Amino acid sequence: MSYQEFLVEREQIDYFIRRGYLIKRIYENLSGTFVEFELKRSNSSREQKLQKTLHIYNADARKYVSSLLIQQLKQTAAPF
Amino acid sequence: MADLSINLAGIKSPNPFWLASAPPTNSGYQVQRAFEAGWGGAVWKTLGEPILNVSSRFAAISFNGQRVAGFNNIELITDRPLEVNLKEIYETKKRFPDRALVASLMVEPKREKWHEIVKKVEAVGVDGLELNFGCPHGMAERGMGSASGQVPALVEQQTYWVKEVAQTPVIVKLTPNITDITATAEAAVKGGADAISMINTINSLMGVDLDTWNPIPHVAGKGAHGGYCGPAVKPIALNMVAECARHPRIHVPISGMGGVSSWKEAVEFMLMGATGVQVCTAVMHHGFRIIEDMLDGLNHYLDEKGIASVIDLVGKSVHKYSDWGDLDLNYKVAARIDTDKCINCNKCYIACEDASHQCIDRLKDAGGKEYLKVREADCVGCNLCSIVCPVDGAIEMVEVPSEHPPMTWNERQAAIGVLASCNIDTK
Repeated sequence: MSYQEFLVEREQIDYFIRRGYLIKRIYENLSGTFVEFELKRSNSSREQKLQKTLHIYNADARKYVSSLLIQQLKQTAAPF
Repeated sequence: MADLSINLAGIKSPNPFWLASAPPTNSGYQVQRAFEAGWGGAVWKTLGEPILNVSSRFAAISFNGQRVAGFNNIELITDRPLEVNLKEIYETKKRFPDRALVASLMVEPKREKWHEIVKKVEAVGVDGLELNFGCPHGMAERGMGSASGQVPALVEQQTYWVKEVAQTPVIVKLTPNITDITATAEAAVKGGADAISMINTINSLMGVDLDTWNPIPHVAGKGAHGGYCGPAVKPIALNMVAECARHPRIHVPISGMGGVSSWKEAVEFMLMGATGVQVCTAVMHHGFRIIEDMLDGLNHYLDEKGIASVIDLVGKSVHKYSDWGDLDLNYKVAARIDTDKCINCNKCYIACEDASHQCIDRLKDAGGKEYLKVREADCVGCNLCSIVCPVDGAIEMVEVPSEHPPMTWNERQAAIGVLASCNIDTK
């Protein structure tokens, strides 16, 4: 069911957001939407970048991640 | 009682209901009877070089018991000499000085032809001119009507020629047989039009007789495309009026027509930017006296809304008409079935199952009685179930609160673009 698909994909998105990942890039093609998340960690010796990509199939999940992106841009004061 | 009077580009009438240029405005006898019945104005059937007509001329679509849901004609402009029409226009205006009397004109796209007819028609005291750049049949084959109206440069040039000599307001009537009516509307404005009117009729073939295989209507077994109008065309006309009304470079008043059959359509057209409306098919179906219900209905509506003047309706919904990309993707409605009103016909279930998103369940209660229930989480809010439901109020579309603020497609694409163009600091 569509709503169940949405819940599954929303949870996948939320999983990264809860861990502090930011949406780094969104690109779309015939297969749906691909969301690249990135988390930067730094310690005294070096900076580490963790990157993950989610393939979003569900239309409501694509809306959801788009809303999160707009919220993120507002919070990070990106020019939006 | 509200004030129903309008002023369209300087043409005043006691109410917003005008007869459109068409068979009901063919003669002084008809127009004067219409004014006696209460019509606020009339656009005289198009004047030009008298034509020859064929027999038969009209056809209509009846749909599920609704007679004349759509109407088609292959009649041309006036078949009477100009002098005869002008004499009757003069007499009509003299008898009804308070009504708007506008002359529709169509001549070859030549400067001297336009100058000649404008001067002759204005001499008998018309309140305005309407240039017929819309009729799609017959005259278009001779380079007039919609053949002129489909070419923005010709619309602009001919409007300009008319404005060189016209002393009264000039309305340019536009054809809907064009991809983007704002292109020709803008051309009319550039040519100096004082107002625009729309829509003229739509190219159409009403049908084919299943026994004779003749086109409908036919003339000795042969047919030609006609102009389609009546209730079925209202959505097309309303969109075109709204598109012109919201266009930043089309800043002249609009006279709206196309499927206006009652006061309700008149209100819709005015809310979407028309200063007044023109009516033809409804009169051809029911006669001039429909104006009584139109005036009563409009008066009651305005009184109920507490609106003092009908002019206060003009354009009030235009700002609500936008591009798809500016609609809120996070707004959501869902269907809700009132089981007390539902008659369990299953129309909604079949429609949803076969043509939409399969979100209505057929269930049984503890007593074994069947009922229908929408899984609201899966419902996309398409409206189809409520559209096909035969019982008023049995299915309601209910607003579902969103957890996110409004977000349009254009805003979404801009946000994705920002990501692509800048390096987000993920620290």
